[in-house]
Amino acid sequence: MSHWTRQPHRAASEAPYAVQLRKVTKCYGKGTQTVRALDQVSVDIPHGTFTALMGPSGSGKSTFLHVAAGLDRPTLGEVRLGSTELTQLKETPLTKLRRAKMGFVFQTFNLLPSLTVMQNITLPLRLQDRRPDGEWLFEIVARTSLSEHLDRLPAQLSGGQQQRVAIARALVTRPDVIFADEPTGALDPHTAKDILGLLRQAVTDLHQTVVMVTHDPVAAAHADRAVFLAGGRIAGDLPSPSADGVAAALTGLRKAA
Amino acid sequence: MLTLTVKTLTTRKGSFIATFVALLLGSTVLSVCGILLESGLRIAHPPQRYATADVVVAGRQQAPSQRGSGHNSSPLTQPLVERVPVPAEVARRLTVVEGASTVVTDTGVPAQVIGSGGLPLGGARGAPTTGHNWSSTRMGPYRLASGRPPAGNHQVVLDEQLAQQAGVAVGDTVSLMTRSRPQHFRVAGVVTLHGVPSPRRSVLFFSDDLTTHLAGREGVVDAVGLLAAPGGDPKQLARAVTHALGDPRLAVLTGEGRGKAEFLDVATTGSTLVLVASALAGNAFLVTVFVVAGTLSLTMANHRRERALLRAVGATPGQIRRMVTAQALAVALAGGLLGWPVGIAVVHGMWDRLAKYGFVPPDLQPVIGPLPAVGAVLTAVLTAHTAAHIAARRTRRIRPTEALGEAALEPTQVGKGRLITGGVLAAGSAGLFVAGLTHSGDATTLVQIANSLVFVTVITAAVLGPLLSRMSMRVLAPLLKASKVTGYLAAANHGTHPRRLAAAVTPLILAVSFAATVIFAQTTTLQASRAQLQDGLVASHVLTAAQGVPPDLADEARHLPQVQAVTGVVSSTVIAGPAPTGGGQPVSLSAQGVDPNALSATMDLKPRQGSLKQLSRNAIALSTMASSRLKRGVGDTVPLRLGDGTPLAPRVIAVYERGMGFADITFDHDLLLAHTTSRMDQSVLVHTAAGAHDTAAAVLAKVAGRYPGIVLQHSLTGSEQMRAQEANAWVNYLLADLILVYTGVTVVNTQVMNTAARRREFALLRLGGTTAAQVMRMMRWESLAVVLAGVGTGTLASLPPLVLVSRTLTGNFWPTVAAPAYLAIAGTTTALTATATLLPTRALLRTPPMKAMNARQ
Repeated sequence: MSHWTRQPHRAASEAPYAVQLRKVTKCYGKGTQTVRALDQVSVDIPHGTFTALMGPSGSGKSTFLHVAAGLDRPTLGEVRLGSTELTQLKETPLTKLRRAKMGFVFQTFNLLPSLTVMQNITLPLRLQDRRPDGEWLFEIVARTSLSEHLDRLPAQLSGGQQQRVAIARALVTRPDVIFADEPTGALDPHTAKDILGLLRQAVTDLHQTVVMVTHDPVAAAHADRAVFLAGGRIAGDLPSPSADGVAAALTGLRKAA
Repeated sequence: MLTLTVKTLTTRKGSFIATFVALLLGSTVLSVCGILLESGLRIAHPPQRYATADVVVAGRQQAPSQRGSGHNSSPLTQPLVERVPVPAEVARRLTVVEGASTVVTDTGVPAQVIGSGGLPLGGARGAPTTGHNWSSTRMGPYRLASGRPPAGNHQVVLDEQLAQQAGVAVGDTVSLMTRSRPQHFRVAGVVTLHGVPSPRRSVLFFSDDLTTHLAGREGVVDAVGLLAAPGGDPKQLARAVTHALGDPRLAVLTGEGRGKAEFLDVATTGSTLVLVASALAGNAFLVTVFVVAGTLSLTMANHRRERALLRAVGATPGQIRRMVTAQALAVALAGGLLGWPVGIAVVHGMWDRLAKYGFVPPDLQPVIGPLPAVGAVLTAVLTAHTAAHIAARRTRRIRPTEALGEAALEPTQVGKGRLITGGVLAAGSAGLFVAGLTHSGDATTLVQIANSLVFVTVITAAVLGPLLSRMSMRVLAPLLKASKVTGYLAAANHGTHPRRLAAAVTPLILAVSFAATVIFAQTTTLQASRAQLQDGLVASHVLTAAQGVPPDLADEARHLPQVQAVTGVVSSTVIAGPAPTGGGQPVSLSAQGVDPNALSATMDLKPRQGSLKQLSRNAIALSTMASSRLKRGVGDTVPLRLGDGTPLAPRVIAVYERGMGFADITFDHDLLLAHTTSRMDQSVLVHTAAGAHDTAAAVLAKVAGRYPGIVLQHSLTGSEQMRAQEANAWVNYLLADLILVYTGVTVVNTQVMNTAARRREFALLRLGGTTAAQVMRMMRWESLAVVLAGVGTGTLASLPPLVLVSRTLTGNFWPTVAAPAYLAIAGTTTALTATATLLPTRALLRTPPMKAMNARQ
C-alpha cells in the first residue's frame, strides 16, 4: 500500500498548478439576449488540493466547472490543465486528454445503465483501449466499498452506491484532476458525508486534485479552500473553510446580489 | 467499444424496434422487386410442342434498342406484343446448314372447337385454341393415338384433350370456327404429346395446304424448327444457324429458350415485369431511406444522455459515431435478412393479382434466386449506414454538457437557416404549380411535375415544421381551449413544444399527401377514361367475343340494309420512336385500327386538329397525350414499329382528345389487323340506320348467332386501353399502400417515443392534482390537434398536384375524389396516431406517480 502514497508521477519542471483559468469569459446567446455566465474569471488550483466552488444559483459555478474541464469552450480567455492549453486543442485531442487526465462525477446520471459496476468503473480505460492496472483497481474498489457489487447493474444500486461507482470511475485513470458537479446534491446527509470522505481520501491519501461545485456549506467544509462566484465573477476566497464561515459568506453574497 | 455497442443494443432493444421494422419493410419490398426483376429476366417454360426440334428460329419479341443490334439489347427494351413473323424463305435457306437433318416450319391460325352447346370450348388453361400445319408435329414428341394425319380441306386432327372435351373420336364430325363462320370437319385422328400428360395449350392440326390457306398470308411462318443430324450437338447447330442467318430480328433458340418461341405470352411477360419492378424499386428505396433516417434520429435522440455521458468520460466523436453506425448495421442486417423470406411470401401472395392484371401468365411461377436476397440485404445495410451517418453527424457538435442537464427548453425562434431553406422550397413549390398550370397538356411531363410538386411540398412542410405547427396551433388552440382544463393543458403543451409537435405532424402530412395524390390522380384518370369511352361511343350496338371477333362478321353486318355504318375495332400495342428533341426512349403506346369511313357514325374521338377520314397505310391519328409525349403533331412523321416489329413511318393527319378511353394511336383497320397475331377484331361497332332500330337488333342478333360466342350489347363496358389502365392503377395503389405503411411506422414510432419520454411530466401532473382520467383526456386533445394539423395540411398539400393532373386530363379543376378512399386514408392515419399516443399513456399511468418521478431515464 505504501507506494500509493507517492506523489503522482510529475516532472519537476511542470506547471505549479493543476488547473489554471486566465481571464475566462463565457457568453451564451446572441445580440440583446446575451448572458455572461462567466466574466473575466481567473483562478489557480494547485496540485493535491480540494477546492470547493460555491455561489448562489445562476452564479456560473457549473459553467466554470465545464469550462475548466474542457467540456465547454470559453468565449475569451485561457484554460490550462497543467501546462497544456485546452483552448488550443481540437475536439478529438481534447477528448483524449480529458479521458486520460480528468475524472468526472455528476450529481445524477453518472452511470451507463447497460453496464455493470465493474464495466462502468473501467469504462474510461476501455475507451482508450488500455488494460486496467490490477492493483490500482483493487485499491479503489476496496476504498469505495464496492467489492461485493461489481456485477450489479446501476438500477440495482442505491443513490449513494451509484456515486461511489462514479468516484471509482473517476479515479481509475489516476487523473490529474477530478471534477465533481454537486456530487452529494441528491444524497441524504449521512451518505453525503461518506462520499465527501471518499473525495477527501482521494486528495489526502492518493494525492489527487479535486474541484467540486457545491451549494452545501457542510460539503465545503471538507475542502482545503472555498472559492465564491457571484454574477459570473470571483467574489471571495476562503482558505480552510468551516461550515459556518461558508454559510455566512454565502448569505452575504445573496444579500449583495 | 464492441461490448458497449452490443450491450446497448440488447438492453435497449425496444428503442430499435421501429428502425428494425422500417428496415424489414424496406428489405421486403426490395426483395419483391428483385424477385420480380429476376423473374422478368429468367421466366421461362420448357417447350412442349417444340421439344423435339433441337434449334428453333422465331422472331425476337423485343424492339431493337436505339444503339446496337438486338443481341445485346438491354432488358428494358419494349416488348413486341404480336408474334413477329418469320419469312418462309428462312426455312429454305436453313436446309443447307451444316448439321441439320430436317427443317420444319410451324404456322398457327386461331381455331375454336364449337361444343355441343353451340358455344366455343375453352382450351387448356383457358387460353385460345390454335390450329397448326400437320408437318409441324415433327417439332415435338407427337404420337398418333388413333386415326391418321389430316388430308384435304375438310379433315382435322385434334389433340387428346380437345377430343375428350368435345366428346368426339376418329370419324366424328366437329364444328370449327377459324376466322369466319364455323365449318364442319371430319376428325381424322387424335394425337398425344408424349411425356406431357396435360399440355399448356390445346392445338389441332390441319393439312399443310389448308393451314396456309387459312392463314391468309403468303411467305411467312410462325417459327422454323431444325432437327440436328444424329449425334450432332444442338449448340453447334445453333451457332451455325445464327451464322447463316445474320438477322438481328430473328432469335435462334435452344433448350428452355425454345419455350419463348412456342408460348408468346412467356416471351412478352419478361419485359413487363422488369419495367414494373424497376419503377417500384426506385420509389421504395427513397422512402426507406427517409423513414429509416427518421426512426434512427429519434432513437438516437433518446440515447442522447448516454452518448453525452460517454463524451464526458472521454469517448471521441469518432468512437461514438462508430458505435452508432455499428448499432445501425446490426439492426440492418437483422431486418435485411428477415426481409428475404417475407419478400418471397409476398411475391407468392401477389402473384395471382399480377396474373389477373395480365402482368404474368397465370400458370407460371416466379423465379426465386439468391441474387435479390443479396441485393436486398446490401441495400438495407447501406440505407442504415447512410441514415446513421446523417443522424450521427450532429454528435460531433454536441457539447457533452448539453444533454446532461434537464430537458432544455425548446428554442422558441425558428432558426434562420430553416426559414431561408423553407422559404426557397415554398417558392419552388409555387413555381412548379404555376409551371404546371401554364404548361400545354403533355400528360407525362405533367404527371412528373405533379409528383415533384408533392415531394417539394412535403419537404417544405418538414423543414418549416416548427413554424407550421405554431401556425396550426394558433388556429387549433381556440378549439382546444374550449375544454377548460384538459384541452387547455393540451394547447399549452403543444404551444411550448413546437418541435415535438412538428415531429409528430410531419409524417402524417407525408402519409396523407402522398397517398391522396397517388390514389386520386389514379381515380381521376380512370374516371376520365370511362367518361371518354362513354361519350365517344356513338354506335348503337356493339359485338364482342371473348376470343376475338372474326373480321367476316363486320363484313356481313355491313351488307345489312338496317345498318348505316360498321367498323371492326382491332387492338394492339405499337412502339413509337423517341421524341425528336433530346435522348429519349421509345415508348409503347396503345393502338387501335378502325375503318375511317365508318368512324363518324360509330366512334367520336373528338379530333382537335385535322380529320380522321383519311386514315391509311401512311396516315395515322394521335391522341393529345401521344402527340405531346412524342412531340409530334399534324403533318409530322412518326417512326414506329407495329406490334410484330414491322417498321413504319406514317404521317400524322389528326390529333384527337379521347385517347384515354380508346387508344393513343389510331390506324386504318386493315393495316393494323394484318400485323396482329390472331388477326381478329376486338369488337365490332354498328350504327343502325335511322328508323330501323327495332328490327336492327333482331337482325344483328341473327347474324351474330352464326358466330358462336359473339355477344351483342348496347355499349362498351371496357376497352383494351381501360384494362391496361386498370392494371396500371393497381400498381399505383400498391405504391400508395406501401408509402402509407412506411409512414405509418414513422407515425407510430414518433408518437410512442415522444409519449414515453413524458413519464415524469405525467407523474408531476398527477402529484399536482390531475387525475389519471384527466391526463388521458389531455392526451386525447393533444392527439386530436396532431391529427387535425397533419391530415388537414396533408390534404391541402395534395390539392395543387391533383388540380394539375385533373385539369390536364379532364379540363376540370376538381379531381375525382372517392370519399371512401379519403376516409380510409384519414381514418387510418388518425387511428394510428391515436393508438400510438394513448396506449403508451395508459401504460405510463399505471405506474404510481412517485415511482415514476424517481424512475431512471
